[in-house]
Amino acid sequence: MQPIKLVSSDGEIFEVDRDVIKLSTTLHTMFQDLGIDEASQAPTDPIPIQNVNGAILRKVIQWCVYHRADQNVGDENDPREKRTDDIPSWDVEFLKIDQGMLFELILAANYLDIKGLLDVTCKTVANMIKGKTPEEIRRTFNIKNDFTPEEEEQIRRENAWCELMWKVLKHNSLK
Amino acid sequence: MSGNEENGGGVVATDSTLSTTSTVSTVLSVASVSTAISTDILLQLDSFPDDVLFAVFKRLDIQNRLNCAKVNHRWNKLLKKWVDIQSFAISEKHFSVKNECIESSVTFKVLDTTRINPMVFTFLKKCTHIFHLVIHNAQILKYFATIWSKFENLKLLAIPNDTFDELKFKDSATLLHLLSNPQLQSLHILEHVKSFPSKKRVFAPLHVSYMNQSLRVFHAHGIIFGPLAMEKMAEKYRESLQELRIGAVCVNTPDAERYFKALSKLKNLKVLELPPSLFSISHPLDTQYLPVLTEMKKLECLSVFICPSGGSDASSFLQYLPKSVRKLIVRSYTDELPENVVANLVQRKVELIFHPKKSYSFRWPFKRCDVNYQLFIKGFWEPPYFAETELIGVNLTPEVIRAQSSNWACNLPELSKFEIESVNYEAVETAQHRPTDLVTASSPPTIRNARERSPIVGHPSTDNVVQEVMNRMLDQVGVASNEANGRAQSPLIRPASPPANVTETNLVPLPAAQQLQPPQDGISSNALSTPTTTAIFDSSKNVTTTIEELVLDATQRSDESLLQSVASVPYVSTTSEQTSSTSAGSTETSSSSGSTESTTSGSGSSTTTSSASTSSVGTGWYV
Repeated sequence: MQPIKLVSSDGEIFEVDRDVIKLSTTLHTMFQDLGIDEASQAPTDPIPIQNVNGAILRKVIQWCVYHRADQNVGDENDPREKRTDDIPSWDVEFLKIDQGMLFELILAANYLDIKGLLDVTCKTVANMIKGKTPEEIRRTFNIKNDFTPEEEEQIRRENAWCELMWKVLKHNSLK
Repeated sequence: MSGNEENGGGVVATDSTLSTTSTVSTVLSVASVSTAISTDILLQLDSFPDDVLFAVFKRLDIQNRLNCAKVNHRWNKLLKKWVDIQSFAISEKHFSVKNECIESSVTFKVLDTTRINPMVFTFLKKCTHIFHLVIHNAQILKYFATIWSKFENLKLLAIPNDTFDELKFKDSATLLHLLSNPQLQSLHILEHVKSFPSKKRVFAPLHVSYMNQSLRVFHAHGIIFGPLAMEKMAEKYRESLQELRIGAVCVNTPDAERYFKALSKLKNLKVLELPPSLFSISHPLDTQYLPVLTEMKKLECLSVFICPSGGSDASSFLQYLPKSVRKLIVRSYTDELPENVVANLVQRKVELIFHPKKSYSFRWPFKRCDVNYQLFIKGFWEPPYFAETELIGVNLTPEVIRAQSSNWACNLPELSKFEIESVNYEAVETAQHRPTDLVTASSPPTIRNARERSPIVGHPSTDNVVQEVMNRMLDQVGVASNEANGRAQSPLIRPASPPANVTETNLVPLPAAQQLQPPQDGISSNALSTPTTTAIFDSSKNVTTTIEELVLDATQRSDESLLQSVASVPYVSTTSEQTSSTSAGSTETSSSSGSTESTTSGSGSSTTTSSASTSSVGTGWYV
């Protein structure tokens, strides 16, 4: 089984095994559509991955190589209990990267349709959001507050009972 | 996806880059440069396309979603609807949502029922697109009567059996609206933890007539299912019905022939579960209706009850099994099946599953245990069928008395009359849907006064036409006397809504039929009940649900002492807590049994369609 060559948007070329590429539904489907199966000769020309630069593509391939043997990555019928905080420790280390890189990875995983990678990266971002107030979320992700003071007041009033309820809940759980 | 095409073209087109081929390792040094470049123009979370941003939101629970909605306009708009949520469970004190990534649950304290409304209403509005709705408490139906018509995609609906308590829900328009959902494929009527056997809880021909044309799964517990309803059902769902699971309903045994005749019309039935009072393996084996079973050429899973002495006849029963049957589910009063019976049954290539005497709390679609879940699944409806108070006013013929004490027969002499009456009721109901026909608020003072004097009834009908018809019907079924009896036992009964409230509702003219809600007292549901320990104590073994998606995580109430304590504790919350503690260990077994069953359930096709449409709706909403 010959490796397949991928070329990033900035011209870097990577050789990747077929079973690693399989994790990308986008590429896997493309191969199937082109009638390229495991037995046939690998295409000699590198396949351009136009939306992903070399640094990100390397990271993506690194993830896929590690997870090449995983079973049922991102299977929706996975009987195990789903939680947002159960990121495998290897992935936690792997994702100790800056925000920009993390977001690039999400976009790449989305583009290449790599379910497992999209899952852990989104979980990582979700964990960064969890437990934060709207203002803290804005600060964390450098998001501009585009609500007018009136709108903000209105939202605050609409949700007042919600907040009250959380407080009641927290109070109860302390007991 | 356009990306595919571009790549596809690229395979042939690019040859300029060929010469620069290198391995991953050699590129490392070059890559570090490009990393620096990419982080220079730092990508912002808020610059994600909507679908990618939502992929992050999908993994957030309810509380965090609410916070995100306050971040900016775009996030607020994206989170107006929780399009990723597929399943929703709700009771009067909690709701839970689920998508493929998360399960999230919020509980609220019921201090004052009017205060929870705005909150839960907001969540309901965010989730009107969902496919699976589990209502754990019948009062929820009334609280939010106006919203259910917006749930247009429902494929699966699970409701408590006391929803069919006609006395309690004179304004059953809400229920009928839910039942008439155009997409509904799977209807589950499950036992409510507080419910007691009642003769008023009838799944009537009226309900069948309101349901859409394509029901595939009918699964019912703790309701009375008359022969006429069965006939209507068989007529309407001759082609579509694949699962009929009525093991724990109450049927009128003298009409057995009518039931079986109707059954024989269901050509595509794959899963069948009959109550012991219609059919069981007994000694000697009653073969009268067995040919009907044999004729079911597509039957894959059959569930039967074995009478205490019926085991010896089990092998002769097997001769009647259709060849298509792959799974035989057996129940009995005992905790395990005697070996000789097992030996008799394991003779063919049929998987034998024995369900011991247990009840399972209905947790689906959630995997986690929640103390607020109030529905459970029973094996069958055990005698005595009804509390003594239920029989007041009934002509106690020897048949009725005998039926009360055995599991093999149930005698409901007034049922057929009630079923026919329900057709009249239908006419009234239809009238109620047209606002012009409403006589609301003009209820004569006599009725109102009567109600004030007896607040136990609690739910003033806003439509006295319905009231009258109902009274007439109930008189005929001999319920009126029960009502008196219920009042006599008032010390057992918690107070219903204050009379002042009642008058107020009666005086305010309501514009539309949809808003005909009784006061939200949420209490009088049990007003007519004699809390019978038998109701729960007798609860026996389970059927694990056989729909593929319906992986039941069950709470097993395994031992009787626990059951007793459950029955004696007056509030649901406490019972659930007790049972939940025992459930943790049993989760695994029950879920695995659910999945094994699913292999032969044969409703896999419905599963795939639902998940397929989930994704299409999912992208369609926010792109």
